[in-house]
Parts: sequence; structure tokens; C-alpha cells
Amino acid sequence: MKNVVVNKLNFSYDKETEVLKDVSLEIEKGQYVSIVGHNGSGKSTLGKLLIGLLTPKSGDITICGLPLNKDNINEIRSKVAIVFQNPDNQFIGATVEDDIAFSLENQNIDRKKMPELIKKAASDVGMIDFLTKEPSYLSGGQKQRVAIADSLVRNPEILILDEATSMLDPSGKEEITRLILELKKKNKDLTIISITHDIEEAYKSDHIILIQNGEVVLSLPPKELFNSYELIEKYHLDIPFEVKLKKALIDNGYKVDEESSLDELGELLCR
Amino acid sequence: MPIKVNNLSYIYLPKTPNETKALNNVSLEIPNGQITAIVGHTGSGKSTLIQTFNQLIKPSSGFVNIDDKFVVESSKKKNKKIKDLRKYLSIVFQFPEYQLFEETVEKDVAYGLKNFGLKEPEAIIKAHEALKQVGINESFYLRSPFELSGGEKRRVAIAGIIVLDPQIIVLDEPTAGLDPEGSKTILDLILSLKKEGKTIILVTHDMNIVQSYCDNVVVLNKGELVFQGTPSELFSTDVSRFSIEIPPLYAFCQSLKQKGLNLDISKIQSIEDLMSQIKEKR
Repeated sequence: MKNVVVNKLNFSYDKETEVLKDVSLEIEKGQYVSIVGHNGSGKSTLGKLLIGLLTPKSGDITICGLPLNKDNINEIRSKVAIVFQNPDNQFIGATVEDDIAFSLENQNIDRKKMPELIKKAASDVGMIDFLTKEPSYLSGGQKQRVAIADSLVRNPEILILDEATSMLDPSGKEEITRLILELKKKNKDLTIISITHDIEEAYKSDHIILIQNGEVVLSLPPKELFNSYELIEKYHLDIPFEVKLKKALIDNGYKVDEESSLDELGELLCR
Repeated sequence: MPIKVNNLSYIYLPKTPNETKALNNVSLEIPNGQITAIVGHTGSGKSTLIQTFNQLIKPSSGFVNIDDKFVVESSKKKNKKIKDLRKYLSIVFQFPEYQLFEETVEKDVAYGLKNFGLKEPEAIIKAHEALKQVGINESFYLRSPFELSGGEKRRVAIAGIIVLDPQIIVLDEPTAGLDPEGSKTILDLILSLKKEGKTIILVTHDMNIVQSYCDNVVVLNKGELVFQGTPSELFSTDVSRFSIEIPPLYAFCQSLKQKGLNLDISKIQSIEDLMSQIKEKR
């Protein structure tokens, strides 16, 4: 089943520059998709269009079978959650549990059911021990975890991460990337769309969509992309460490399986 | 002769309610002819530190001794050698391409030389040499710098510094915002400058660069020196307390060691180095 269908989308902020040109794409339910591209490529704009924060000039968007329009927007927003870049701009409550509760209050959830839902969301993101903590006691990575809990507690079908790790330090970044992979394992139906700069993160996703100058230029699984030196060079992409290592091993006469993990490559070298 | 930083402190807005200690009793040494990385978070004091090196700011206390030739200290006396110091030690700031302004690429590179008193024809000849060194070819010399791509602009800006032939070059995040190809040309340029015997100081967040290109690394945290040593010494300590990410190559080598492979990780700067060590073992 397709969870997101975008058809010939055009968008511009002013009359002159087209930010998105004829963008069409499809995202399957339960997929973890990375949208990558250089600064100014239009990838964040696409994220905002998907949840109706911006209105396209032309073209249409269908989310979970519903066309995105005035009549459906509220229903669609109950199915889609977005986490933004800046951890400090998304914390509303006085404590972690208040912040997650705020999300539920907006959905008119029965008060009695709230504590249980909050606890579940907090433990899903590994913040159960911080429920009564104020935001000033949390690191950037922890605040982003809470922002993800705010989204998860509403039980969305689609989670959009708009450069959710780009303002975090390296350990915060790793924390969130690991969390995304865990969430995916636990909930196979959750569709994750991650708008990101980080090639190591994108490499771990199921599918990569590359946007350049407002156009979708590539849409394929990461393994296919990074197996093609032609594509890497053509689009000036960074190469993940694992891919570089595999190439070096092959050049040195090792027999490498495309599917091998880093750990298996290590075993190969130690033999 | 190294750069010696001795008990250096710097206080922004002293004796006001907003007083901030940007550097607190920092002492360190940066050896000649090598590449040294300065690492630290936003607010760690790294920008303040490099600005004391050519006296863009004067320390509140302590001093910096540059190769026993220049001393930057807190005294109110005028430093008569400041012009020579700035020729000897030059800083390439972050996003130097924003500072391009001349009509043509060659004029932009020659501008600094003219400031130091060189006449036009010689200045342009030297500018051409510097442009060649950074890999900008002749067809660009008479074009406007604003027509160039981001990576080309940055190389032109760096040419404007190396044309002055400084002995010490400080670069603040020289690869930030460049695509992989652009980064590689800048890093190769830095290696060739080192081969010429220059001292290079790199401010960077990228631990891959620290492992693959730098001889030494200095870590600052909240205005204090918390580490000084080689990259492999840094990565073998508990770096999470400085929230530094271990580069994937180093982490992979460590996992090989744990599996029983006998490696000298301190000598591994690239995947090729790793491969040749494994070959030798066979």
C-alpha cells in the first residue's frame, strides 16, 4: 500500500524562483525513506508541503489514501507527525510528561488514559526516567527524543523528521539515528520520512530520494546507489565508510558479499 | 620552534554583569611543520584562541609566543611588529569566500600583497603562482570571483592568504559546506602546504579529517584545555565526555583489534594504511 503519493508538485515562495519542479514520488507503508539533497535543494519545503504547512502551486498530494485539501487536512494531520530541526523550539510543557500530555490534549484523549500513553511513548524513546524533568536539564538529543515521543504518542502512520539531527552534537546524532532504527523494528507499519544531510544515516534507510535544484533526480535503495560509482560522481555524493571499505577489500582480492555488515567484514579480515 | 601558549586567559566584557571567561589559563604547544587540529564545541573558546595568535584580540592575561619571533601579551604597549606578525601568521576565517570583493580573481588575490606594499605587476605575477597552487587555472584569472562555484571561491580566498607566503596558516573550518570533491581539493592543498614546511592549524568538527590529516589535536571545552596529543591518543581515551564522535575507520580498527588482529592503529590514517598493515601480517 502507498502511504504517500505526490504527483507533479510545483511550488515557489515568490514568482521568480521555482523551489520544487514537477516532483512526483511514492512512499510505501512501513518504509524508512531518506530525502537527501544539498542546501537549498527544496527538501525541507517538500516536508512542509506533505503536512499542509505550505500549499502547492500545482500538483497533488495523497496521504494514506486521502487527497490533501481543506476538507481532509485535519484528518491527515492526525495521521502525520513532524519533528523539526531545533530541539528548543518544540518544547512546550514545563516538564517532559507535560510536554507529551500537551500533544494528547490536542487530540481530545480521555484524561484517565493519558498517564499510560505518556509512559509508553516516553519508554519507547528511552526517556521514562526523565518524566518530571524540565527541558533545561536535558541535552539536545534528549529534547529531540521528547519531540519524537510527542509525535509517537498520537500514534501516527507517518513520522517526518526534518533534519532532526542537524543541530545535535555527534553523540546526540547517533542517539537519534539508533532510536529511529529501533522504532522501525518495533512498529513495522510506521512510515518514516527523514529529511537529512547525513549520508551515514541515509545509508541505513530502506530507500533514498535525492533532490537537486527542486527536482527528484534519483529514487532507489541505498545499496544500489552506492554500488554505482557513476552515480556517486555524477551527483557529488559523500560515500559511507562501509561502502569505501567494501571497495578496498574487493580491490585487495577479498570476496565480499554485498549484504555483509561491518562486523562480518571484520571477521573476513581476521581470518 | 613551536607556538607556545602560556596561561592564556581572555575575558569578554570584563567588570560588567555579562563578563564571560572565554579562555581560562590555557597552556599548550603547537609544533612547527605539522598539522594541528583545534577541536571543541561552540563556545569552547577556539575562535577566541586563534584570534589571539595574530593579535586580533589581546589576551587578558598570559601570552602567546610565536616561534620565538613574536610575543602577543596583555600589555597596553603597542606591538611594533604587528604587521610582520600578521604576514608570518595568517588566518583564513570560516566561509572566506564571503570576503571576496574585487572585479577579477587575480586582483582579489593580489589585494593583500598590495596592502603590504608590492606594486601591481609583481603582485599579479605572484597572484598567478598562488592560484596555480590552489588549482585554479588561467581561464579564471580575469573572471569575476562572483561567477565561481562555492568550492572555487573558497580556493581563490585561500590563494589570497598563501600569496603572502605566511609560515603559519590557521584555517577555521576550511571544508564546511563544501561537497566531497571540494573538500578533498582543500585538504590536498593543506597537505602540500605542510610538505613545503608550513605550520598548519585547523579548526574542525570533523573527526575523519582529524584522523586522516592531522599530526596533533588539541581539545578545548568551556574555555579550558582538556586534551593535547595525537589523534589516536585522543580516540583511545573516553571521548564521549567531550562529545566527540570516534571516526568510523578508527572504530573499525578497534573492533579488528578486539577480534585479535594485531594492528598499530596510531599509524592508520586511511583504509589503504589498514590494508597494507594487514598484508604485512600475512
